[in-house]
Amino acid sequence: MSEDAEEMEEIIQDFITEAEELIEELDEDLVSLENNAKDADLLNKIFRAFHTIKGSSGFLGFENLTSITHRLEDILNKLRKFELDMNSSIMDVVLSGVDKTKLIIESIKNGGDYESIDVDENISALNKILEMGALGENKKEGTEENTSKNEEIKEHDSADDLIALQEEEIKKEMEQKSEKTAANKQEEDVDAKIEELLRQRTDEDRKRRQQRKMQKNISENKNDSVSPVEGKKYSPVEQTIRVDVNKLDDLMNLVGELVLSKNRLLRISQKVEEKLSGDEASEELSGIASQITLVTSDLQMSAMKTRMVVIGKVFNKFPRVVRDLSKKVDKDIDLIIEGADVELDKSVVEEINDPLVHLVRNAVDHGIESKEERAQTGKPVKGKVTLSAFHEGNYIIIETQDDGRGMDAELLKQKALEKSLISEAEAKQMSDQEAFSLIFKPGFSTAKQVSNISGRGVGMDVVKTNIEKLNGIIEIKSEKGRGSTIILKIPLTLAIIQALLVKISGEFFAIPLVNVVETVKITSSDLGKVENRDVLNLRDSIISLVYLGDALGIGEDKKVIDEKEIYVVVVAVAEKRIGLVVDNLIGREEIVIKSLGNYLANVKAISGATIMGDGAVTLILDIGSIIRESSNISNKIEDHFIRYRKEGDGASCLIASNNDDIVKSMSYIMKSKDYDVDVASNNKDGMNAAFKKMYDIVFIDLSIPFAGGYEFAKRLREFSAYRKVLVVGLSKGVLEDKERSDEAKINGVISCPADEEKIDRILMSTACDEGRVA
Amino acid sequence: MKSEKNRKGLGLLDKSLMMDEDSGIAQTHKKTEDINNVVIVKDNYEQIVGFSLGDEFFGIDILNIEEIIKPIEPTYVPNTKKYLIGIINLRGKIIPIVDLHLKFELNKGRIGSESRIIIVATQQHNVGFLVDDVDRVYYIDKKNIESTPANVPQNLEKYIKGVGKLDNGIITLLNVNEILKDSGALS
Repeated sequence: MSEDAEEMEEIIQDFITEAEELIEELDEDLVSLENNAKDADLLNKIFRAFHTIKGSSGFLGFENLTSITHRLEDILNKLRKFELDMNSSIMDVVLSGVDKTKLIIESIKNGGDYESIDVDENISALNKILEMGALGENKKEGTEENTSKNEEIKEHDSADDLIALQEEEIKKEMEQKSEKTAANKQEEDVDAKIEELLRQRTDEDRKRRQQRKMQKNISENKNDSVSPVEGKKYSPVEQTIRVDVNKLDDLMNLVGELVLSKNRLLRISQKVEEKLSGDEASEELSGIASQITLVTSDLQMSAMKTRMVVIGKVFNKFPRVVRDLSKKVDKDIDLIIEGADVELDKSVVEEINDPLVHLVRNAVDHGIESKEERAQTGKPVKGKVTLSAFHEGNYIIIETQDDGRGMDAELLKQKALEKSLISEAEAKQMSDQEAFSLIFKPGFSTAKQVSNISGRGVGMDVVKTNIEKLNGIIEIKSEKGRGSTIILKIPLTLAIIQALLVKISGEFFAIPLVNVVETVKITSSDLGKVENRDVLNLRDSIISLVYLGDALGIGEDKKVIDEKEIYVVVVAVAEKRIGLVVDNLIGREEIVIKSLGNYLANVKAISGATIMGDGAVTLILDIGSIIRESSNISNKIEDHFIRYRKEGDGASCLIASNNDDIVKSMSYIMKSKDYDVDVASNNKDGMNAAFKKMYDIVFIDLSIPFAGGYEFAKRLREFSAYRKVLVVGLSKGVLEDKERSDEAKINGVISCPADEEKIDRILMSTACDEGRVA
Repeated sequence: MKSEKNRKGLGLLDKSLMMDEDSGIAQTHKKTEDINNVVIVKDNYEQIVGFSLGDEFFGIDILNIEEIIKPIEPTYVPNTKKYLIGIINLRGKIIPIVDLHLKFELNKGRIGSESRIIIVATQQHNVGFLVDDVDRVYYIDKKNIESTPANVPQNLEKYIKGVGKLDNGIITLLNVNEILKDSGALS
C-alpha cells in the first residue's frame, strides 16, 4: 500500500515538473501569440500544452485543474480552427486562467489545499468566451474530431499507440463522465496502467517525437489531425536526466579540492624546476603538472556546466510582465530579448530574478515616456525595452536598456537633497555617474506618487542587495532624452573564482577579481585631499582612498607603505567604487571559496577563506562590506608610511624568542648597552612589532614558533623597510643551517647562552661588513 | 604546573594505567570488558582528556575531541574576538583556533614545545583550542565528579561542568558547548 503511495507521489512529481515546464513556456508563447494571432504552429503548441496538463491532471484527479485547463483547451481549439478571433480581452481571460493554473500547481507542489482554490470566476469568464462562438456546433465537432482521431490511431498497431489510445480514453472520460465505464473496461487495473505508462514514458516520448517528425514531413494535413494526440511539445531530441542539486554541490566541492591540490602540485613542480633545472625527473614532473592542470580545468568547466541553466528561464517571464505593465500604465512597449541561451550557475539565476523584475518594471514605468510625450518629442510611439545577456570572460553581463527619457542627474541630486540623503556639499561634487547611483539608496524615489507598480523606493535597493550578494557590479549609463542602460556584471559561478592576492601587514588577502576595476602604482605626491580625506584623481574621476589594513581593523600604528611605491587597487561593488591601498600586489590566482564554519559565521569584511598552493589559509575579502566600512575610517594614508630612523632617535632592538632564559639574558645585555628592548614570543607578534617600529637590531630565536627563525627572517627581509636592518639569529643547542640563514639574509648567529663578547663581535663584524646584506 | 611531574610519562590512553591497583582507576579495569582488545568502559565512568593552561589543570570529555595536533601558524582573521587567534588548514578543512588562556582571561600563554591544539567537534562546530600541554586520558568515576565549587572566578563559572577528583589533585571539567556558544566573530 505504501509502495503504491510512493509510486503515486512519484507520478505526481513528474506531473508537476512537466506542467511547470509547459507553463513556463506558455506565458511567452501567449504574449507572442497576441502579436501573431494567426500563427498556426504557435496555436497548436499552446493547445497541446493545455491538452497535456488537462489530460494528466484528469487521471490524477485534480478536478479544479482539469476543469480550468479543459476550458482553456477549448478556447485554443477554437482559436486554432479560426472559429474565434484573438483579441486582447480574450487574452486577458486566458492569461488569468493560466495564472490560476500556476497557482493550483504551486499548491499541489507545496502540499496545499489545491481543491479549495476558487476557479469558478475564471471558468465562467472562459465559458463566456466559448459561448461567443457557436457553442453546440463546436462541441459536436470536438467529439467528432476525437472519434476520428481514435479511429486513426487504431490503424496503428504499436504499443505506443495503444498507450496514446488509453490516454485518449481517459481524456474522453473526463469530457464525458458518463462514459467512465467504457474506459475502465479497456483496462481494469488502473494502477497497473499507470505503472506501465510511467515505465514507457521516455521511450514513448522519443518515439512520438520521431513519429511526429516523420508525419510532418509526409503531410501537413495529416500532421494537423494527429497533433491533438501528441501530449508533448515539439522539440529536438535531447537526452537528459534529473539530478539532485546536492549531488552536484558535492561534485563541485570535490572539484574544488582538486583545484587546490593542482595549485599545490604546480607550485612544487616550479620549485623543483628551479632547483634541478634540466633534470629528467623534474621535466617529467612539470609535464605531468601541466597535463593535470589541463584536465583539472576541463573537469572544472564540465562540473560547472552541469549546474548551468539558460538565463532564458528567467527572461521568459518578462514578455508577460511587460505586457501587463504596459497595459496598466497605458504605454506601447516592445520587449526585445537577446542572449536568452546564455548559461549561468543555477544559484545565480535564482538570485538574478528579483533584480531583473525591478529593473524591467522601472524601465517600463519610469524609463519609457507616455505615448503623448513620445509623440511630442518625435520618438516612435512604441517604446523599446531590451533585455540582453552575454558572456565576458568569467562574467556574465546582463543589460536592461530602454529608449525612454533617460535620467536627469540634477533632478536626482535635488530629490536626494530634499530627502536629506546627501548634503549640499556632496551634491556639488557629485559626478553624473554618482548622481545616477543615488537611485540605489533605500527610500529614494523620483515618482511623484506611489503606484502599485513602483514609487516606494524599495525596488532599486533590492537590486543592489541581490547584486551585492552575488558579488556583482552595477553600472548605469544614461543620456537625457535618449534612454538608460543598467548593466549588471555577475560572476558565472560562486564556488571557484579568480582573485587578486594582496599583502597587508604581512598577511595575504584575496580580492575577488570581479570586484577589481584596476590597479595603479602611485607616489605620495599623487595623493589629494577632499574634506580631509585621501583621494586619488584617476583620469578625471575622484576616487577616495583607504588603507585596506584600516578597513579591516588591523592597520593600527603600522608603518608599512613605501611612499615612493603606493599600490592602489580600485575596487567596485554594485554601484560604488573606492581605492584600497595595499602594501604589495602579489598576483592573480584561482581560488576555491571555503566557509569559515559556524563558529565564525558572519565575520565582518570576510566572505570566506581559501587554501593556497603551499597549504596556507588566505582570507577572501567581502569588498561590499569593506566599502561600507571605509567611510568611517579616519586614519590617513600617510600615517602608514614607513618612517626610517632619523638622527637622534634612541637605539632599539627586538628580541624574538619564546625561551625565558634567552629573553632574560639578551635583554639584560642589550639594556646595558642603552638599547630599548621589545620582546616577541612568536613570529606573528614579531612581524607586527617590526611593522610598528623600526628597530636597529632584530634578534631571532631560530626555533621560535610558529614558523621558525629562518622563515621569520625571510619574511622580515621581504618587508622593504627591513632589507638592511641587522638581523641576528639566536640558537640554543642547534647548529646554524648556513644555507638557510644565507637565504634569509641573517647577518650572523649567536649560540646561547650569549655573553656580551659574542654580541659585540657580531655588531662589530657586521658594521664593517655592511655590504653583505645590501 | 605543580603536579605536572607526576603526570609526565603517562601517554594518552595508557592501558597499563588501568592495572594500577592503588588508584581509583583500578575499578575501571574490573568493570570493563575486553572484547577483541577493545576496552569498553561502563556508563558510570567518564573519559576525560587532561591538559594544562598555565598553572591550572582542565579536562574535556573525550567524546568532544577529534584529534590533538602541534601548533600550526594560524592565519589572523580581522573583526574577530581577541581570543580567536586565527584559522588553520587541517587537511583541507578550515578550523578556527581559540586560545583558551585568552578566552578564560588567564595570563597569556607562550607557545612552547609542549603546546598543543585540541580539535574539538560538537554538532555545530569544529574548533581548535590552544592549550599549554596535553597530559593523558583519565577515567573518572561519575561519583567523583562534583558540581562547580564556589571559589571559581565568575567569568569562568559558566564554562565549567564540574570538578573531578583525582588521586593527586583535581581536574576542572569544561563544558565545550558553552565555550563555543558565543560566536568568535565580532558583531
